[in-house]
Amino acid sequence: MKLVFQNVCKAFGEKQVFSDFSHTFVLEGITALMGASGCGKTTLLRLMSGLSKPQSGEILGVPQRVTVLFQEDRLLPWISVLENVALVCDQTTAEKRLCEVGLAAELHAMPQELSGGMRRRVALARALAHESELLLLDEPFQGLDEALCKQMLALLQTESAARPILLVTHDRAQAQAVGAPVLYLHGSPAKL
Amino acid sequence: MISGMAYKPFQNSKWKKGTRILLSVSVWLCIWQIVYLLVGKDVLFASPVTVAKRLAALCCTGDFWLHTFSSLLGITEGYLLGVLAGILLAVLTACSKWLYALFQPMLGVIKSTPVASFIILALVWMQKSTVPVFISFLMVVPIIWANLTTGIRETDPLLLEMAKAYSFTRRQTLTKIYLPSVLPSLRSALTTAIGFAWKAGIAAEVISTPRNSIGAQLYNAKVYLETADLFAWTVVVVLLSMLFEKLIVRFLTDPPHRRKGAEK
Repeated sequence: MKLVFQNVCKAFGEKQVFSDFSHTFVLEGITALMGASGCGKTTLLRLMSGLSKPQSGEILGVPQRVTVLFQEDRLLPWISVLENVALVCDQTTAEKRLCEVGLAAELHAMPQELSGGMRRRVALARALAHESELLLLDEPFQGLDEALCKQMLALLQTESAARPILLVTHDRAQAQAVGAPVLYLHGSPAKL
Repeated sequence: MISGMAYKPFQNSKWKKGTRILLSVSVWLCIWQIVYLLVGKDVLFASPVTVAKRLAALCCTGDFWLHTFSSLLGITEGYLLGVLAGILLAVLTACSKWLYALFQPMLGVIKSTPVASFIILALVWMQKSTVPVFISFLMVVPIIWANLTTGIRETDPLLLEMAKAYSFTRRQTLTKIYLPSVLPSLRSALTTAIGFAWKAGIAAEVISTPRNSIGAQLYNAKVYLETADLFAWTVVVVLLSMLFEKLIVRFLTDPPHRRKGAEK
């Protein structure tokens, strides 16, 4: 899959995050995106997903359906874990995805009853359950221990056979573990 | 270990709550009795015993139930219509800034205008029996509208963005995000509004004196200096208003969507 950024400009008030940014992203399997905090990784994901529009320039090749795992879990606190995931797919898929992330015993728990790491896995299960052509994951392993990180990476590796994944991470080891090519975003305005 | 004694914290706290309420009511009844003794004139201030006796006597008459039921019907009708109109207005003004700009001043004026002005105007415009319905309606609309508008505006934008990203249907966004988000504001608006509906509705009845109404009985009690009757009817209004408030709180507490999952 190719996503083409042509002379993209994006600013928040005075801060110019992208200025005349051009790049062709070739996404296959898992691609890791790294960079210092605040350099524009999340903004790049939002532009790719269509949740944000550039002030000028063009983004070509954005698929019809893109799944985003946000930096925040964004779970609905008034419904159970299973219901949260089942909002984006059928009940069976939701159960299957939750089992895959190791939450088979927590299907009917409420999000606020779970630890931060568990909530993160629910959000990941929801992202995996959502059918799309591209999966954008913004720091999906926040609050997970090393063993769980490995399990989730293995899960992503399996998933990457079905659709490309762009993984934002601060941990180079995570990218290396799955043999993903790494893109570094740096500078202000950002460049690759 | 004390054998044969099971500790039941829930029952214990219920008993304590009951005792607290009983004690509080007793203290206020004592204060009422002391004030009565200090005033010393039945025409100016009725004693709790006299009021209780009068209330018991009134309860045994068919007219009492007729007046109570008529007022209950009128005020409830105004309240429910006000709730519906308030919800509708809140949804419309949340959808359009133009509609918000159009309705906001009008609802502001309704909130700050003395209720007596509306009652007198309504008496000119409509039949006596309709005035309490209209006044209850008018008092309820701005309360529901203001609270619900705040609730809709304060719905978490991150959740709304998530709904957009995960292609939620309109129905899903409404039932899974907006409704649970506005429920606390709606609950507080409904309980506040019922008190206002009763107060304003009875005031409208006192001024417009429709046949078969609590307000007309209050007016008659004032004209004939029947202070015990005045107190007894006031007690009826207070009890009905409190009962309705409790019913609304009970109805809106622990809605099924919050219990779901936790029960399993």
